[in-house]
Amino acid sequence: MDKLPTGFVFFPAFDWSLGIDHPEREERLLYTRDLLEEEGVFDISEIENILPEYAADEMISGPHICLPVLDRLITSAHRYAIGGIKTLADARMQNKIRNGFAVIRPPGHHAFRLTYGNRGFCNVNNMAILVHYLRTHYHIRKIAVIDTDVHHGDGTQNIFWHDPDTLFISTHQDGRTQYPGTGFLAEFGGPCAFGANINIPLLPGCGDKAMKHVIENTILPILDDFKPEMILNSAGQDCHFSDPLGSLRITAQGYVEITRLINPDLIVLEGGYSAETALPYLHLAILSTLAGINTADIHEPGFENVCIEEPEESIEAAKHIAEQALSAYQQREVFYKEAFRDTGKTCSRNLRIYYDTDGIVDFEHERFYRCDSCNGTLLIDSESHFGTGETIRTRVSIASYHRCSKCLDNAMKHFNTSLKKSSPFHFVVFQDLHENKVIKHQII
Amino acid sequence: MRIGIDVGGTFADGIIIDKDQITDGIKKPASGDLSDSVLSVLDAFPSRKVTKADHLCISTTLITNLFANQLFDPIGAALLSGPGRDLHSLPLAFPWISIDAYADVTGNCHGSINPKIIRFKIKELLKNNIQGIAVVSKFSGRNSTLETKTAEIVRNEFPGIQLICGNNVWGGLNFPKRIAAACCTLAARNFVKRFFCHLKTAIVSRGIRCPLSLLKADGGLMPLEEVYQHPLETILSGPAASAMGCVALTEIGVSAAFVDIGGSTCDIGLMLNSEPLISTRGVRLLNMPLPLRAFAMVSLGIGGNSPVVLKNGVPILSANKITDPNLLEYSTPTLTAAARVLELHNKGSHENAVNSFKNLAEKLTLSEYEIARMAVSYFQRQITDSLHCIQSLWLQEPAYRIWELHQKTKQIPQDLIVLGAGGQLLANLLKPLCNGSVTVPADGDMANAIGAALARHTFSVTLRADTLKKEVVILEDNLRRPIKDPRSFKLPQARELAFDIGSQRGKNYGIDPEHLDLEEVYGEQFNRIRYGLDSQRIIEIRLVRKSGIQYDHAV
Repeated sequence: MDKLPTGFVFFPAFDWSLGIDHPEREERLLYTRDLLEEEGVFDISEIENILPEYAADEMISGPHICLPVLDRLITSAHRYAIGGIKTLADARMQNKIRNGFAVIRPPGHHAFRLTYGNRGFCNVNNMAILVHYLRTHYHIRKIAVIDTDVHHGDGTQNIFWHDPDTLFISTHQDGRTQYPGTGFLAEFGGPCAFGANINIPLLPGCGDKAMKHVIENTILPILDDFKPEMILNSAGQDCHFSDPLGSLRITAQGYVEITRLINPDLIVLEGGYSAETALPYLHLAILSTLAGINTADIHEPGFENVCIEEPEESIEAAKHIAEQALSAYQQREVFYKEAFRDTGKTCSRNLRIYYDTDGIVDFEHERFYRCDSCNGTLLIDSESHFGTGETIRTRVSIASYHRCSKCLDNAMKHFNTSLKKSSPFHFVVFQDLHENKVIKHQII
Repeated sequence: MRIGIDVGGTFADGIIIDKDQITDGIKKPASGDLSDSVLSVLDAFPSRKVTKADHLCISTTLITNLFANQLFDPIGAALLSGPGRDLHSLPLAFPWISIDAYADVTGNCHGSINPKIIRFKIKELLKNNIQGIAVVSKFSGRNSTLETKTAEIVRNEFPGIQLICGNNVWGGLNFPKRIAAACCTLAARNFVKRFFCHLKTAIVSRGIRCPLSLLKADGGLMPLEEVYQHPLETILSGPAASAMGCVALTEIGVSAAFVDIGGSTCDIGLMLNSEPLISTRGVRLLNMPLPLRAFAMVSLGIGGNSPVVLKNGVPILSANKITDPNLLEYSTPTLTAAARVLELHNKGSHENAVNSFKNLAEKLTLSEYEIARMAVSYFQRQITDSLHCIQSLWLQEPAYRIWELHQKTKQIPQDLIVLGAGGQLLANLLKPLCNGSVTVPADGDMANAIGAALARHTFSVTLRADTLKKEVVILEDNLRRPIKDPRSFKLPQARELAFDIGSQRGKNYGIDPEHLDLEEVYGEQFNRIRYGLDSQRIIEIRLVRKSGIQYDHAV
């Protein structure tokens, strides 16, 4: 074979769902399986079928703090979905495949660093776990994550908010009209990673033209400047014009174009709920694009001669926000001074994180300690209220990737001083991201 | 009393089994003509026994050879594909035309059949001097209307042309495989009909009136009358006989890799708990993938009699066959001779074996021992690669559920079973390749014929119900039934129906209901939620009667 194949992990988790009529039900990838089987893609040399592994605790808890315990949060389906990403990453890093696509359930990009349950159909963040694995296992430092789901990838944003080596760009339907209600341009990254978090919200009605413009005029120039060692794509197929949960209007050929332009090393499936009409054909389109197979004949059945219209004002708005995003990125140092002029060595912020599926409200207070020689230390105090009346208070101190010894000591000091019996916390956690090490202490 | 005949590349073996005991065994040189080989074996048995046989099964490479030697009829394909992969990228070995209408993933049809355009395109196709046309539509197992309508137009407009519809050959998913199956079945049908009529007449003329079967790729029996309908099922009949022989000659519950070393071929497979591993992906014909349930096996074109030759100055085994009947005289350097040089067996003269390598040794200025060692290493490498290939085939089989993936964590067997004519002599060559034990079962040299004699009927029933369409389809034979009460039709009802159909099929084969052994290998119900309305269901059930050994007490 002249060139390496495209790796393909297909784990539709036909025995896992969030409810009989939930969008995340067993049926979601059934028609995708059927179309891929019918097209014979599992038999062709351009595509290498890769089976998932069963992911161990360490793999999942790397970038996460899973509370109260990991096994209350996840099922075997999560472990295989994550194990699929791992086997795909291994194949890519061992040069067995040239790129790869993980069509897996359950999705992950709404899961935050501290995770207590399910929000936005996600318990643990597959993409963050992939980034963490590539960084700690294969020592890939600069990674770009392009999130093209119709919903803002707020979980991935949260996890890499303070990481200057992970460029997170999310294009999604405007948060004023779509879950989770975040993902505006002003969300630009933490003090140490300002400008490494770019949101490009799109108005309802935006389709192929708007998306192509955003990618060509904003995302590609930023990627060009950031120079990532790897490009990853959190691919949500809910931007499709037929998706019941979204109001964007991307077509199958639009997805071909997105994939071609971003040219990702690895793609991980997030959302997409037009299970019959769109998903099978979109997955075929994306997989074929990655594998270099002719995609000219791939389109939605019955839409041969239908033109999907995009309102002119939506396209204009997309062009405007794309221009603003690029400009903000280019002038990030100027904006940085403005944004953090009143802060000293310590910056703090408060977050309220709602778990829509499980009815949990988590209040987090973040303190970030800047450092001149590394990416600093992060301290999070979390108070999580469960619908059952249960409350969990947690303190987490995190030493960043590539931390200096002083910051590592600082994070450890925070951890040790919080361990006292009189401590108000139920859990005290120390996380050294660089060494992939977590110490979790329950105070009884 | 059961007769098994295996016609391989070098030998035709026959075996008679009565009351689970081998009473007669015959090994004859294969003549190159299947009928002659079968009849020469039958003629060598006592005629009083042969005429009393209850069943005769043949394993043969006939269909494989038919395609390898390009003896099939020229045919073409009319394809109704719709959106998806570019048709030009499919490995199609026959001329084809494309028709615009198509069915989508749910079986809904788009576009319309235009008789004028079909007539025009078929005329173009006929310029290739074809005798038949396979009409194949995407998702025709879910909706065969487009295939039926197109075939009807072709039948009316071009009455002399033979026709076959894709859904009648393979109702399951996989468009390229459906095309391949329909085309190859149509291309082979006339030849198969002629050949087996001739063979049956010859066998009957010897007073043999028992049911005749061919061995299928999944180790099951196919009555001769059905071979005309499904000739492709009998390709890989030879390797399937090895696998069934391995099952018959080992204890129940054994898990091991097995190697059948013939004169000019080696078949390598994996057996887990007495069941040869099935592959759903591996079989190809004319480079086209086939929808065939077959054992996951690798066949190598080298065996005990393969000559050692030089390739780029390195000794390797050639795929060319040696016709010398006295192979143990070692007049030519072969794999068996190399093993004798290295004293890995003690059959034949050691001196002759060493001398057979003299020329090669002089050419390469190496000793005869070194050449023999290199030839044996070459063989060992080929076997090792094949074992890895099968293991990865197994691990590459898709799994869509948590429990299926849990299954994959099973350990790969470490033991090795060696069969075939070369098994006794060459087993020592394989010892360094495995961590477990190497076993050569008694009668292992006749394993294929034993496998053929003791095989039983296999079949599957794949039921797909769609309560929205109020229809049940049995994919194997495109049998369609309406669902009277879709609201109450759920997994248990579907299961009951599938088992009823399976029992009926078993009855048709004359299988005692007590030994039906239908196993549900897949059963799933998916709720279809649409627009908040009452849920409809897609139900899929697959029952399989797996291959197995048929003892006298079970029919």
